[in-house]
Amino acid sequence: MAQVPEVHILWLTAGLSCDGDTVSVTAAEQPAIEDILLGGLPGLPKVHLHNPVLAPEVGDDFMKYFYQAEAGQLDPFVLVVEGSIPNEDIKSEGYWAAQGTDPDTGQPIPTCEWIDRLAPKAWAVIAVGTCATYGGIHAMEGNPTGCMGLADYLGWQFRAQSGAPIVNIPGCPVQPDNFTETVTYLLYQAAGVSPMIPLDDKLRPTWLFGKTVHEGCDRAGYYEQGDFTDHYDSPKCLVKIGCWGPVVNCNVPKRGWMRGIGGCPNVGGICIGCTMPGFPDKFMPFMEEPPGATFSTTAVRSYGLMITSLRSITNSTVNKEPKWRHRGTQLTTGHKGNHTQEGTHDGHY
Amino acid sequence: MTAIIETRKKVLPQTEGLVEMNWDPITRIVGSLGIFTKIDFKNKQVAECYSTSSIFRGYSLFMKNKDPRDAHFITSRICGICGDNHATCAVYAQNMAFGVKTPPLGEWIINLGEAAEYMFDHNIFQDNLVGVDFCEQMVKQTNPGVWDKAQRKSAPHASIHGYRTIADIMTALNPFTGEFYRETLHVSRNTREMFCLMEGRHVHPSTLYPGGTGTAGTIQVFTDYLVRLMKYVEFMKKVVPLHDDLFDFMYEALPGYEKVGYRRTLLGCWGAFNDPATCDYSYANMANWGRSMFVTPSVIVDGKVVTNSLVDINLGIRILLGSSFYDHWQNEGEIFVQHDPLGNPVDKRHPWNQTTTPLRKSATSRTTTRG
Repeated sequence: MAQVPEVHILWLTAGLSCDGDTVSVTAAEQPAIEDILLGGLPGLPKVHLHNPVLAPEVGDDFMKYFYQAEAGQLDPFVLVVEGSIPNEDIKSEGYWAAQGTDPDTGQPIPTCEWIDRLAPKAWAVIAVGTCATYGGIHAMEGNPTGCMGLADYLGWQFRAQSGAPIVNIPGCPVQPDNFTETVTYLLYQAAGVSPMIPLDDKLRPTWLFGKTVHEGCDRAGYYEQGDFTDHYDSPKCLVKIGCWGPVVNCNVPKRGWMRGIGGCPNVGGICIGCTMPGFPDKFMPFMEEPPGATFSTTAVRSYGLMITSLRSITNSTVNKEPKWRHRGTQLTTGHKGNHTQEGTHDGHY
Repeated sequence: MTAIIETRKKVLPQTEGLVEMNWDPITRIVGSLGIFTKIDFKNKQVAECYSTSSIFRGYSLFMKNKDPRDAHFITSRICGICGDNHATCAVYAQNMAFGVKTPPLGEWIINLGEAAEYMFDHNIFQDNLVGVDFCEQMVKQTNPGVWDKAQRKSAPHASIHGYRTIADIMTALNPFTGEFYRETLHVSRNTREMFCLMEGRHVHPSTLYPGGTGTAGTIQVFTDYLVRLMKYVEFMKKVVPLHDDLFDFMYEALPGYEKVGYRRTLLGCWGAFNDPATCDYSYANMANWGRSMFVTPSVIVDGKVVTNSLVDINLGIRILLGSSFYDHWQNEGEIFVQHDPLGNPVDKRHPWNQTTTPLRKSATSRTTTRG
């Protein structure tokens, strides 16, 4: 990969979205969006961001970058897609999602058409948030738009100009740093200093989504001790009241939501599986115990109760100070030194 | 009950000398907005205007037949900037429907989360979204004369906020490169941490449930919130005089600017921040617990309070589809509720009776929908 001095990021929020991924990304600090844009990280190409929620330009002034990219004038560019991709083929007229107006026809330009125009020319394509990655909330059962994830639309075998597949960064919304960190990785790849981004078979960065919620959850200790809560206001394991953490790929309990603060089960919220391809349908109703949890929690409970009782004995032992810490004229620490009236400083330290 | 007052003036049809001007998309706003106008420059008036929202998702369709306990998790996803407000309202509605009540500590946790959300909204809206309209980059391009004046105008509160001239404030508002833009972004992260302390995640909270919150209300959580709140208060002591300086200058530099957005005073608010001492989530007592909310519900017409009863406000709400690409449900749609629990009649156009019917035959070639 040849080094590139400048990269444009074209960000379509006009999927079926809530713009929540863009807003979430403004919370990022590792790195912050301004670190990327203002050259705060050494060796990154200069970055120009075009996002409708943040852009100073309005209307045609904003849209010109999309036309320029289509005409090959902004190479290389990264295409970021936010929101589920609607199915525009299931009806005879109208559209589900669009951005900008076609100057020739006066008609809106459907989001799918923008994806068709730009994706084949993009150096990298990123799907941000669970809507764009796998369909998400708007693709739940009974939806009228037939919407889907970007890879469902472009094909899972799609390759961007860099040779990389679509890069999926799921989360509803995306964890802020997960996005900016992945973009930073890709920019270093564009700069020629990082190898091809490592992705799993669901096209997620492996270092972010290789572990489960449970593996990073600070309540997992309660699970191991078979100590499950049946009500909300408890610091204990939430599996019995609907937490799917043991089977969900996500780093949020470990990383926190921002600056290590917040999260889901670690702060009292059941994991509803919002990073997953099966979200939301396979996790609903959210507030019921997951089917597999009845068996696993029963199995762990007998072990957990026994271990907990043994630990409580050890715990009470280690909660007592050693017996030689006391006042009085006798030294009972076991020190074998030569005590004199003048003091104990006799060089045995 | 509340009467619906017709406020819209009919625009006189006029075809000569109108200039078509369109902005699509309107940026720095959530929701894919486009504005299409015909402007009468001779009389300095907008003769015709319509707006579009170019995305349809269908929440009221795909939420049908889902477990009502899941509602707040789903409705939060309607908006990515105020997702928490949707989740909170959904929890209030769930509490009323199930006849359950959030325990007092949980209510305070929700209130503190909402308060942090409002602080965040103020930060990011005022200085990272709207503020950009007043930045050097923008003013230089759209009003070079105003930029010249701003360079000569010293800021009255410079000793408080540190910016010597109005032009210095405008330069500080430039997106990302501006010092004050970045400072606000930084403080908005502080407010979002406050939110996460109470509700787990931002923009879609993780710890809200019908009947309570999952947040463990420890002393540490409230200490961490308080420390951040006081940092925010310190910041705002600088922000308020800075905004005063900037907007006072704009009124002075652009005569008539104060008329932008000026219209009949028609305000509606259904309140915020429940008081756990009075809020029992019963419909029968709703007018009472509504009045004891820390932000009182009200409808204000021409500067006068018409009502502050949540029951009246609720029953007065109508969904009017006159200018949208939806079919009305009045003739075909199912009527779900004829009377409220107090026996008052509920209108067919009330949201409780809503059915979403995207228009199949478009009235014009543009089939814009909103959802």
